[in-house]
Amino acid sequence: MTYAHGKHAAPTTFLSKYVFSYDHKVIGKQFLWYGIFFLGIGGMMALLIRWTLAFPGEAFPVLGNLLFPHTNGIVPPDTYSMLFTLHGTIMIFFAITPILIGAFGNYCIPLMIGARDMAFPIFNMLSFHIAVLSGALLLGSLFTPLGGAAGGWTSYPTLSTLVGSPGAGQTLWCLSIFVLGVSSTMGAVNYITTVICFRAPGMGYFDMPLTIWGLWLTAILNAIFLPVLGAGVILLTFDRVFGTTFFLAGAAATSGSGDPILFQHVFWIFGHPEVYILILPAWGMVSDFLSFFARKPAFGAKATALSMTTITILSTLVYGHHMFTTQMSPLLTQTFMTLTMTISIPSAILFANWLGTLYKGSIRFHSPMLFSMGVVFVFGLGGLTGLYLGTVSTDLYLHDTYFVVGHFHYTMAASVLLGGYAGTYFWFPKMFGRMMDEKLAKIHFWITMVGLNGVFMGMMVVGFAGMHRRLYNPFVYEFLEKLIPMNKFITYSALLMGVGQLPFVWNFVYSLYKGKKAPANPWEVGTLEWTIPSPPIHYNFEEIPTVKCGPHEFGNPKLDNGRDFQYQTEELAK
Amino acid sequence: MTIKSMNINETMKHPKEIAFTILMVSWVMLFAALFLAYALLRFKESQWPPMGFEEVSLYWPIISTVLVVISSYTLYLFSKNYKSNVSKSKKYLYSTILLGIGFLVSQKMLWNEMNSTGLDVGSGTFASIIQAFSWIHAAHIFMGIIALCWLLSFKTKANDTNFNFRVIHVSKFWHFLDIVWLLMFVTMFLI
Repeated sequence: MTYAHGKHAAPTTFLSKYVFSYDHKVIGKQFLWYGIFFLGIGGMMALLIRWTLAFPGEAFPVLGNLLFPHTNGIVPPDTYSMLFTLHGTIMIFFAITPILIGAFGNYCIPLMIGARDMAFPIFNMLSFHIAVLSGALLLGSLFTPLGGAAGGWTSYPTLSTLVGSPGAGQTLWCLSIFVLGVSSTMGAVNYITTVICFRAPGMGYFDMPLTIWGLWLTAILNAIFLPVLGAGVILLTFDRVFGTTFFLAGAAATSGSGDPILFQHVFWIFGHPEVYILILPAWGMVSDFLSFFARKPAFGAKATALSMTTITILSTLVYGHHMFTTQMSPLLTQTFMTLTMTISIPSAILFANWLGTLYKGSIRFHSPMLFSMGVVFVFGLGGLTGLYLGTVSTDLYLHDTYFVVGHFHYTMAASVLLGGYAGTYFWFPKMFGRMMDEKLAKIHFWITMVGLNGVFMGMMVVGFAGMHRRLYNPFVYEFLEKLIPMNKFITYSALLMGVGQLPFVWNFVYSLYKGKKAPANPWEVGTLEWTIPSPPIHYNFEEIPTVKCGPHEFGNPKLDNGRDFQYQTEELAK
Repeated sequence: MTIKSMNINETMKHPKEIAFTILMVSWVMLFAALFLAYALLRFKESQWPPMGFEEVSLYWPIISTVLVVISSYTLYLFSKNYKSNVSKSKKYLYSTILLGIGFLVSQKMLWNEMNSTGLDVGSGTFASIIQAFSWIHAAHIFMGIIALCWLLSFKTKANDTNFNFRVIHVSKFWHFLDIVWLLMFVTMFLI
C-alpha cells in the first residue's frame, strides 16, 4: 500500500504561504507566535497579581491609571480574581500548550522522524485556526460588561455558575476551552498517527528521539482526556445558558439537586493528565538535550522512554489527590495517595537517567544545555514538594495555600518555561536558518533562573506559613501581616524575571533578521532534522532517509570520521 | 523537485484507520464522562426519579430507538451493496438519512412532551440529565446526517480508496451513535 504524501505544490501567495499553509513547519511557527503573544499577556497579568500582593491598595505603576481609571490605578478586587483566573488559563491553555505541543510538536515530529509532513496537513491547519478562534473568544470575554471569567482556572462551581459569576465572561471561557479542546484533539490525532505511520524506514519506536516520545505520549493523553474536560465545560455552559442544574446544589436548585463536586471529578480526571500533558514534551526535549550536550549516549534511553510511558498510564489513576479536602472517604484518599506515591518510582528512574547522562560527560554549556540543566534543577524541586501535597496528612494543611501555587509553578511553569526556552534556542537555527546570540541567551538564563527561584521558592515559604491563594488582600488577617516583606521579595523577584525576558525578546527579534547564518549542524547532533539544510526545503526530505542507528550515538571510540557523533542515517560504527 | 510517495508496510493499517480509531476514543471519552456524571448524580439520590418526579413516558423514546436501530441496519446494507448495486444502495442510503431526520424529530417531540409535563431543564437534575444528554447526542446525530449526505456521491466513486474509507468511517460513527442512544435508552428510560 502506498500512501501518497506531498500532494500539494509549494505555495506562492502570501495567504497560502503564511496564513492558510498546510506545511507543518509554518503551522509550527504560527503556534510559536501565538504562544509567545499569550505568554506576554499572561506574564503581564502575573505582574499585576504580584504587585497587588506586595503593595495592597497602591496604584500599579505606569500602566495602572490607564488600565483601572475608576480606582486611580489600584487593581480592584473583582479584577484581581479575573487576573488570576485568566493568568492560569492563558498560561496553561494558550501559552504552554501552543508553544510546547503546537509549535515544537508540529515543527519537530515530521523532521525528527523523517517524514515530509504530518499525516493530515489540512486537519493540522484547521487545528491552528480553531485555536485562534478559541483565543479570540477568551480575549473577547475581557470586554463583556462584567469582565472575563473570575472563578479560578479550575472554574469550580459554584464560583463558576450563574450564582458565583453572572455575566457572559465565564460562559465565553467555557466555550473558549471547549473550542481549544477540539483544536488540541485534532492536533493530537495528527501527531499520534504521524508517529505511528510515518517514521522513516528503519526507525523503531526506541530509535525515535526522546523528544518525539514526549510529544507522542502527550498527544495520546490529549486525545483521551480533553473530551472529558469538554463534557465538563459543556455541562457548565448548559447550567449557565439553559438553566440545567448539574452543578447547582441546595437552594439554588429545586428538588433532585446537582452536585458542585461532580465538576471537580470531571475536571481533575482531565486535569491530572493535563499536568503531564504539559510536562512530557519538556521531559522529552531535556532527555535529548542532556545527551546532545554532554556528548554521551542518553543513559538508559529505553528506560527513560518506558518510565515516561509508565507515568502517562499512572497519571490517569491519581486525580483524586486534588480533592482530598472534599470529604472524600478515607479509603479513597489513601488509595489515591498510594497511587500518587507510585508515580515517584518512574519519575525517579527518569531523573536518575538524566543524572546518569550528565555523569562523566564532556558537557558543552551552550544555552539549550543551560536551560535543560535548569529544568533538571527546578523539576527536582517541584517533584519533591509534590510528595507533601500527595500525602493526605500534610495536604490537609497545605491545601489551597501558596505552597500549592509554588509547587505547581515549579513543575508546570518553571520546568516547562525553561524547557520551552531550551527548545527555542536549540531549534531556532533550524527554523529560521540563523543563530541566536549566545551571550544574551546566557544572560537571559541566569536572570530568569534567579528571578524564577525567588518567586516560586518565596511562594512555598509564604504558603508554609499559611498564606492562602486567591485572596485579594491576605494581610487583613493579622497572622499574615508579617509576610508582607516576603511578598515584596517575591514581587521584586517576579519583576526581575519579567525584565529578564527582555534580552530574549531582543535576541529573538534581532536574530530573526540579523543573526549569524547558522551552519548546517550548529550543535553537532545526529538526529534526522540536522541531515537537511536549515530552514528545510518544502516537504523537508528530497529522499526519505533510512535510519540505521539511534539518536544518541556520541563518543563512540570506534568512530573514525573525525566527529564524535554520527547521524542516524549512518551505520553504527563497530 | 519530484516528490515520491511513501511506502508503508503492507501489514500496517492505513493512517486514516488509525486516526479514526483515535477520534473514536475521544468520542467514547466524551460520552463516558457524561455517563459518569449521570451515575454520580443518580446514585446520590435515594430514589430515581427523585421525589416529586414521574417517569418519562416511553412513547417517544421507543420510537427514537426503533428509528435509530433501523437506520443502522439500512446503513449496514448500504455499505455492503454500494459497490455492486446502485439502485438498491441508493434506496438504503436515502432511508438511512430519512430515518436519521426522523430520529431528530422524535427527539424534539420528546423534549416538547417533557417541557409540557413540567420536566423542563430547570426543574432539577432528573430532567436536566435526560434533556442535556439527548441534546448532545442529537447534535452528533446532526453531524452524522451531514456525514451521510457526504456519501451521496457513491455512484461515481465506488472504487475510490478514499471513498471506501469514508463509508467505513461514517458507518462506524453512525453505529457508535446508535449504541450510545441504546445505552441512554436503557439507563435513562427503562431502569
